Amino acid sequence: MSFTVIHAGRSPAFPQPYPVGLVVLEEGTRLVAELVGVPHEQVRIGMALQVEFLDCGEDFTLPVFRPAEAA
Amino acid sequence: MTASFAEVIGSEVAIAGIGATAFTKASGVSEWRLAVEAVGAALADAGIDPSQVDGLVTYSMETNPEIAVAQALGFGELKFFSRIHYGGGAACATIQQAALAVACGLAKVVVCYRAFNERSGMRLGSGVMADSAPPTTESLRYSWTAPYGLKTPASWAALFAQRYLHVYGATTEAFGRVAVSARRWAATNPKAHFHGRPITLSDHQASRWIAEPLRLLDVCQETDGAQAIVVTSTAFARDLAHGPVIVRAAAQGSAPQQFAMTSFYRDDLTGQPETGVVGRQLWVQSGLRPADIDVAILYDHFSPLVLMQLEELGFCGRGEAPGFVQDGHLDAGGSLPTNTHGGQLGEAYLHGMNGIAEAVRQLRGTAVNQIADASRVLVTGGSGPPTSGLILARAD
Repeated sequence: MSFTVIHAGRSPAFPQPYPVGLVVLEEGTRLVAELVGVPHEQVRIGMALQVEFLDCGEDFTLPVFRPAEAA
Repeated sequence: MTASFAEVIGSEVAIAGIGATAFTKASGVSEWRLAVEAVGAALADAGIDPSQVDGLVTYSMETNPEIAVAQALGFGELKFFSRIHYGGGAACATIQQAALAVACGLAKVVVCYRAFNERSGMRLGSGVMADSAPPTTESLRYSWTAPYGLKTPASWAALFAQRYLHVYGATTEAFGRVAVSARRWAATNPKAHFHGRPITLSDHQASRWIAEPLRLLDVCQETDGAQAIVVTSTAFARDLAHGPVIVRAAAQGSAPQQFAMTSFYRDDLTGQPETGVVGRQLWVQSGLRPADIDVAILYDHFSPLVLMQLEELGFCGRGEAPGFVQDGHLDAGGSLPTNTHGGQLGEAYLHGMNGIAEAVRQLRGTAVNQIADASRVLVTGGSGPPTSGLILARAD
């Protein structure tokens, strides 16, 4: 749906620049999530993504998205 | 009924005074002192003795309690105090609250104020910070975005801006032209931080990324300072120093699926529908149309949101704002001179209150970049959160 690439964030946890997407699931649900496995220059609205689950420790798991593998 | 503002208030409420501190990057004084200085200056501008003030209005993120301002300035009995939520979205709503209080006879003289050291103190652009406080309904809403590093106002606005470019096939030069226009106005305003420092479109395109597609020159300043506005009855204002500037219309607005700058779950992300809610009320209350407006003061926290506000208010059609701006409508000689003080990109970021003061100066005929015969000015609060707006008019 949309994305940004953050160059001047305030969170030391995120090495800059980093892309963040507004992702639409096939079911229609929309969520903000980190985009992984793609150089930030190559992020485009409309690109196919697939979910993966990032283990952040202490019972904390986040969905993130990477470009879909060709079917 | 939205028409009731016109029926009940009509032209009976006015702005009688404006006052501000210097706008700086490091005031060197407390926020309390800034507030007291600005409120005192606004009362002096109006020619009203502090003992006559019986109401105060401010909005969230203000650190100065009404009673602290009242104490320092020697106010008597206060009968009306109101604090509106949603930060800069509420700027124009302060005038609405004051107008309602005056019109209802709850208070005679109400001062609206904003004071902060938001550059040298807690920087507003920092956004959502780590917080050990227990979660609240409000803070939990940011838990959908903060874990991915989407924590600053610029990054929230960026998702709307990117979608706008995608849907309308525009380029970031459309954002740049808003910034160039603001900085051109600021260049001739001695009170502006960017006085004497206009920019070109090339400067904009060469400025560094903050959160793509927003560059440094798309993003408003952070400012230390304060601005106050005195609201009273038109009848009383006629006997005062400057005469009245009429509050012709005043509205608040929140749209379905509203979040505070993170309304990412609406069908369409190319607009700012909360501004549309405000705009429709302003036109109904005032009986005016966009073509009747002589000057616009549009809340320019981020340049792309100015484009969306122009469309939401009906100054141009959907997706047409880039062309509207490119055609020079916001500039001197244009059909809608906009942010003639330089806006928050160019003058200062006082959470919208400095824009209300500019509207008053235009209607008094005392602006540094005066628009000839300006008689009706539309002002907006910040879009993104629930917002507000005004139409102010010269007294007949």
